[in-house]
Amino acid sequence: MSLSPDDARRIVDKVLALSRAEETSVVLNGGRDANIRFARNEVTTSGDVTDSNLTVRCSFGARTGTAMVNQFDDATLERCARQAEEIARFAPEDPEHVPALGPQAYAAIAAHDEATASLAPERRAELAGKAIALARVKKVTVAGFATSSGGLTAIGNSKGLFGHHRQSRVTFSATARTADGTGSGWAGVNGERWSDLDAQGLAERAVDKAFRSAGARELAPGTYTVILEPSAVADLLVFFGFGMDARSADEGRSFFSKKGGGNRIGEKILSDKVTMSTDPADPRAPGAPFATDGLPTRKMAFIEDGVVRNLFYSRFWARKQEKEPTAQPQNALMKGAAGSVEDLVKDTKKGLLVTRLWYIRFVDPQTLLFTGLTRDGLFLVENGAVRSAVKNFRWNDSPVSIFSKIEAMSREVRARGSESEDFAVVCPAIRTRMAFTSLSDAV
Amino acid sequence: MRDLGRRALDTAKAKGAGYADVRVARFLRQSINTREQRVTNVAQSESFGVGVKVLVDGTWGFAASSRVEPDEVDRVAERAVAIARANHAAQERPVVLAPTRAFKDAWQTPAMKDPFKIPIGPKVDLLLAINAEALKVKGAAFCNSSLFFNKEEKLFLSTEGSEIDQTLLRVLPTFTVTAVDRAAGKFKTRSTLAEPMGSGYEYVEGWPWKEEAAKAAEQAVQKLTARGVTPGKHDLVLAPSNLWLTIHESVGHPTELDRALGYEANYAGTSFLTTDKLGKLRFGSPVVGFVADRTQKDALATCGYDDEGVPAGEWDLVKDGVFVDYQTTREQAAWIGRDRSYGCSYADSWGSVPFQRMPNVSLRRGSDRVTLDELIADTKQGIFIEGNASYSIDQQRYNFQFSGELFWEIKDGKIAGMLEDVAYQAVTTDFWNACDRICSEGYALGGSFFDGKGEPGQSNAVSHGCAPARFRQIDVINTAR
Repeated sequence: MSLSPDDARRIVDKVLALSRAEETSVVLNGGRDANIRFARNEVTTSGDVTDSNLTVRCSFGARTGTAMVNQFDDATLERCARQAEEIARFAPEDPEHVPALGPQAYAAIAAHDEATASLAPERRAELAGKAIALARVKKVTVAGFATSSGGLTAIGNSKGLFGHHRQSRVTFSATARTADGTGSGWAGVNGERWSDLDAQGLAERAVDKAFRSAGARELAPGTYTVILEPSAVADLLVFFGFGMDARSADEGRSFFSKKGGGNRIGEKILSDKVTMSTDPADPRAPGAPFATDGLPTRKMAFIEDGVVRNLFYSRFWARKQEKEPTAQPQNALMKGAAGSVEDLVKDTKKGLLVTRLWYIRFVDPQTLLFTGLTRDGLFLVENGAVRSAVKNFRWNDSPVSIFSKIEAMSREVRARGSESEDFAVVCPAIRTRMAFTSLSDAV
Repeated sequence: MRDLGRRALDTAKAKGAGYADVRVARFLRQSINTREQRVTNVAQSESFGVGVKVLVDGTWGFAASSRVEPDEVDRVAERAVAIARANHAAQERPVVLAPTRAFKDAWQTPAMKDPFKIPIGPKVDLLLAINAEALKVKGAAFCNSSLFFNKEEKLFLSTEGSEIDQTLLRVLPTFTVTAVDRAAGKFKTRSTLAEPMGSGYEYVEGWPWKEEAAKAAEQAVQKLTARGVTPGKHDLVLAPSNLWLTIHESVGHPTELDRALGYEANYAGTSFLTTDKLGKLRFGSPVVGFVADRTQKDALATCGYDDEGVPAGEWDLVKDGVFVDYQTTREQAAWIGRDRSYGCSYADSWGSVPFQRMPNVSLRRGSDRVTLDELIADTKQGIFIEGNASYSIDQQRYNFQFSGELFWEIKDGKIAGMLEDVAYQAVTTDFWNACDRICSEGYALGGSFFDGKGEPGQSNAVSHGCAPARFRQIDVINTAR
């Protein structure tokens, strides 16, 4: 059984009462996660897991220790508190210790749907069944994954801070492959409500892409005009965001470091079409009203019209640099324009349409250079229409360059990246330029 | 716990399961992180729970809970059976398990020192000493270091009569030095060449940390002004600290049978090593042989039994350059006509469903007697690469790109200086067919503590052994251009 907000409050209060530390902070999160997997047109594995984790952080002055458990009987709670205290006593003093926050006011954000959190296994089986039935009719092979979950996060500390947030989650993705193995298509989403999910539509999209991607022709590596679908943009957006730490920038070890010292806040580094922000209350991708360190999450822009407006400041670094601290973002939002992916295609003389990116890894943190591949649908666009399938490429490029060369964007939608699939992203499709460095035989 | 486990099996059988297994497990983790002369985090975690896996009329069901109590254990077993029944309609081919004997046994990592019994103090002292040593070098601006330990205590029971207790230990020591040239707006890093191991704290104590920290700091500074590589085809001599990751990605993953058959198509991908190539495909040159095992001392995937109760073993994947076998579980063995599983089932938690995970996959030593120095002396022009950094490979494991920590130019059989901005790109079979010499000396293990696979994602720890080896005329790009 999942924890209720009242259960969470009781556990948090009990641990705070048990602690002998000068300062104690507690994070409790968990719930029920259920899933179903399918492949080769059959259900393969599936599961239903109930679990919650309690993190107790104890401080004596500037000495801090952390312990975590997932059992909440009195003996385990006491053992956890004692362990965190013992670690704290052995830990050296931390010159960067920041005292816990006092009580905060948190917004109530609606992100929980009980029907999703308690979904029966039969409903998940029906969902997989839709994709499998379509694949059998169309004589393709489908693999996919669906999850439904409901969880609670509660935070509290010995200074009287308390907050809780409930969030449900649903994901669905499917990959269809043609019988001869020369075509592969993918579609996927994540969201908060089961009832919003169009599994049939997504499966149809994956099957359609599989057929259209078969018989791919080979193009020479080089720099091409590309239309990146929202899934591809979502990954680039999240990887770009990971690099936006103020301290690394100020220390001279980041793309956001300024030559000679300091950081690049205020510099225009991307196309003026680009505005990136976060907002936990955005109903398209709602998130928790607090970060686990207690900071209230809030709406804020990181890039505005291509200019760096904010970087992420930890509580210590903010104090040292006399800045406002930044709560860990709960979502990533990138402003779009109007129209759809199809409209971008219609307006393109020659370019490549990219369904999604894969195996994205840092090559050079200095320039934010990444490498990765295209996957599950790469198409040649000519004179406003998709002409043919193209063999996949490896790319070596930087989101800085890709987001600097944006020519046009669609409206923004909830998007699910391939390498950042659990992160809530709202972004457009974009037309830009991208450097492909070698061919891949992978389908 | 044993009684509760048996109770789960009884409930599953009573509800209609033809087969069931239960894992009651405790996962302990400890991490200590530092930077410069500061401890940034000391944390210890413990996760305890029960997972029940059932087969009902040939369909899998799995459920798990952190409440290990009689009523909850019953409920978990019932839920696993209910899931199997709900999924049965979409199942055309019933699951058939390859036979295994029932074992009543206990196994533990042969470690001398349990890291969880070593106090925090000496661990913190070690990390701060590493950082101090690195920061003595002029130009070295930052040093982060950490220790991470995990311990799995798990009891496996099955309706076939197995009762197996296991305790697995793993250690992961790391550090990274950063050199910064603020005036030029440049920075470079150099991370340790120490590897994670399936061993006790004695591995941490045996590594020459101070010597390596000083050397790493000097090399990080040296990297700031090192010459960029000229792109093109180069002969590569790869140290085990670099080559293990290339083995992992280009040999370990494509020889997973579930990938080859499409079970991972929606996430990690499939494999170019389809079953029609078994016993036929020339994977590499005749000097290339790969062996899979879960028995190698100090290796991360080593255990007594897998998470289906199959005893650990060793087998060839590539022999004399030819692709000859896959990694399998009990369900998979029959898919390629094998009568037993190779024991590759693993779950990263009591709450995760066990599925096929990579055993240790290692390159066999060369048969001609040659050391690293002799191999370099035998190379007219080339690049010697140590350590690993950036890595990426496509979803069928054809096209890969790897970088490294340290790149050394080889000229007329000698190390001629440091290079920078090197990454090598190749197609898997072209690369392994370009391997012409493998040292007989210098065999070492490298490994990954966090190899991801599956949905929901699971993490597996796995090692790869090899000796230094040479690869002829591989495409190298300059990552700064």
